[in-house]
Amino acid sequence: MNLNPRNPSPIYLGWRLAMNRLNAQLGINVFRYEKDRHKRNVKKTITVVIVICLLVLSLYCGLAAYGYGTLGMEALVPGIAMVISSLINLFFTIFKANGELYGFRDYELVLSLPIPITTVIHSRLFNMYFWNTVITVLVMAPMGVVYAVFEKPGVMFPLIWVFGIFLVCLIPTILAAFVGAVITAIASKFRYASAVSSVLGIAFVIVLMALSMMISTGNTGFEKLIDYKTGIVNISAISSYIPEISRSLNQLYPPAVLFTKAVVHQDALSLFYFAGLSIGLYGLFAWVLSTKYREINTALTSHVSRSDYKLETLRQQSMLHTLYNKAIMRILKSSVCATNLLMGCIMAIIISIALLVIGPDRVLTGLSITGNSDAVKKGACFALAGIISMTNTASVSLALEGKTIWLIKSLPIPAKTLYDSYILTNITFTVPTSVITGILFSIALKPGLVGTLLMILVPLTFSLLVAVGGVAIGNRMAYYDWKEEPQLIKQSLMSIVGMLSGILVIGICGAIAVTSLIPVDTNAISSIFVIAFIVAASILYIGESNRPIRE
Amino acid sequence: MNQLNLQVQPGDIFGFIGHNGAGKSTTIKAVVGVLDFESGEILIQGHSIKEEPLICKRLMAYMPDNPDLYEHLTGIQYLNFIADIFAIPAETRQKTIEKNAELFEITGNLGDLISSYSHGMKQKLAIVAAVIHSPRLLVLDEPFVGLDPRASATLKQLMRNLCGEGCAIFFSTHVLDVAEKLCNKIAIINKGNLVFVGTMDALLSMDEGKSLEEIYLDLVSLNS
Repeated sequence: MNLNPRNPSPIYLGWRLAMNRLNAQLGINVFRYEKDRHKRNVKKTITVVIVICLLVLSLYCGLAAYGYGTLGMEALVPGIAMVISSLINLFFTIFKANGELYGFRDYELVLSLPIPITTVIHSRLFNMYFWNTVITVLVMAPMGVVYAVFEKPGVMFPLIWVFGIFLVCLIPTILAAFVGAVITAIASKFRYASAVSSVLGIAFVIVLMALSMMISTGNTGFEKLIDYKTGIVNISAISSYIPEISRSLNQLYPPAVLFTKAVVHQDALSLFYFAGLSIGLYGLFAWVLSTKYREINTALTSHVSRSDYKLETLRQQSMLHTLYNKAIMRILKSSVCATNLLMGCIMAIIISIALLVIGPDRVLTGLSITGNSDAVKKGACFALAGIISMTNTASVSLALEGKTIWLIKSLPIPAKTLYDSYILTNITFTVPTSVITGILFSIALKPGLVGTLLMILVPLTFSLLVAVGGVAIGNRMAYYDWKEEPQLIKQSLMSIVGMLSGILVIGICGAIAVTSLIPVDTNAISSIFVIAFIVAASILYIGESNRPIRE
Repeated sequence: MNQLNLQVQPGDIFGFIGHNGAGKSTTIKAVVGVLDFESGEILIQGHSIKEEPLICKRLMAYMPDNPDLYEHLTGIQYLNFIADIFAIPAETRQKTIEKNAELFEITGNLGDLISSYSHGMKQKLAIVAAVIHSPRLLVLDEPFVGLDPRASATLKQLMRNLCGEGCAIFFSTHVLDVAEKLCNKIAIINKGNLVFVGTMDALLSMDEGKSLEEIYLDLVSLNS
């Protein structure tokens, strides 16, 4: 029985769902209706920081394309532009897909409304597609302009390029959503679904990185083009390597063949095939998912409840110990926290194992790092510290209390003990990583006895400073009324500042130590930095311990 | 809140009633040290919540209207967490948890993640956690919302027992029938102002024959 002869169409419903989601993500209503000026200002600051980061990414891509152009390698730009944007999209969507597509907060509300499941799925996929297209535009627009300037392609180029921009992110979005679906489906069978989901997500990224590294470190002979002693590049020989690099790119991402052909040769048929492949994959995925969607979400939102617990002997722990256990579990039992916050440590371990297994030369080529090996050896401890410092759980630990902050505030917990638990949690991840990766780096790079000590001590002491600094950042910027954990972890000011401040500080220290700015031995300067990190961490710790918990 | 002056004595079951948005939860949060306040003083056994918050918090327990608990912990992990914060010896906590979890019929669920609990189950767990350290003052915000009839009766009995042991209970409620039967003292607030404070008997004697609900509605409309 049709009660309303003017039922809205599925497209309209999908559009409303997608706009509603975008409204929440962009915080439009915060700008329009939020009465609290502080909240509005925080939102504005976060937006400005994100826009600046995206513009820097765009600028970097444009400059990279310009570099290829000046080296006479402009023919590679379309393929590289596509691979870069696809990898960024894939990497970011893989962790987002689970929260975005499955088990989202308004699942019950949306499914109780007269909206077809396929419409819900399309609205969710559109949301991911929208953001990935924004990234694609930022990467490919400047690269396309630079390519047009150097190559002077035909009149059809702008049309093909713009058309391509709107197609390029479809395949990585669908691939990430597919992997996310598989991971979620597997994880939903387990009691600790979040933990299983984190492990599988990280495993996928590791496999992806290993594959890309294996392909990009293939024996291209590219390193022979640069004389590292003089820094002179043999430009005339570069053109002979273009087919080899092009082959590597196509191997890394096969759809790049079609796209490159469409752009470079203005081949309409290749563009048609590429569009067909992208849209076809999207349609197929949406159809398959619609048949399993309810099942996956039911499994995710259902809880294993055994209800057969028998009280056994209980143990007493100190307040610090119990707060520390709680903080550790808070991070490990949330897939969003575990995958994002621990990425620095995971990356450090992957790189150090790769250094040991594949060898420093091939890893450095794979990471596009060139230069003399002596400078690399001296700077490695700072690079390692920088990577590990990206794991700054302390900066978000207080904000992660969220709605449960009433417990912390109503219980007799001294602020110092709470901060100590956050610091201990952070260094539980970073200190063992510093020691292990420092040893692995030392075995691979053979920096000598003092160098080995510094390879361990620089990341280790910097980890202490980062943890204490994280608490200071969190206690000044934390807010508790957040709605979605991924936004807090990925987009909040405290999270961004926590991650980037460490990289900035260690970057400056590394630059001072490695370059010849100060005419003193690198090891001596590095040793001074080790002491400076300890002193700074101690001063900050004493000051912060007396600070009350943020309101 | 304007000029709020209340005294809760050991053995009191003190009801705090008012319309939605009258300021009940704000007052309660200030009492337990969750919210800061501009002027005035809140003393728990002579200790200021502003000056000596940790001493005050060791003396009391709080349960909010919507207990957001640590969803990533199991029930028993949560109870152990609270017991550790109050440094309750293993043996004592074992006995208290055993007794109260059994009372609220949640022992079998203590091994499950809190995220799998219903609202009522979380409420029961929060009550068991709140009394784990035998507080001298128990502050409850709408404690009966979401509880099943049996749990509601158990909570009322527990409140009476605690008062018998010298504990003071301060709680907000919209269920006036419960307040009438349970409380010996009552405070009524309206738009941030105290309309009445005194014993339940004194309130009911203001207009004999009328129920608490009728008297409350009269008082609130008079002061609107």
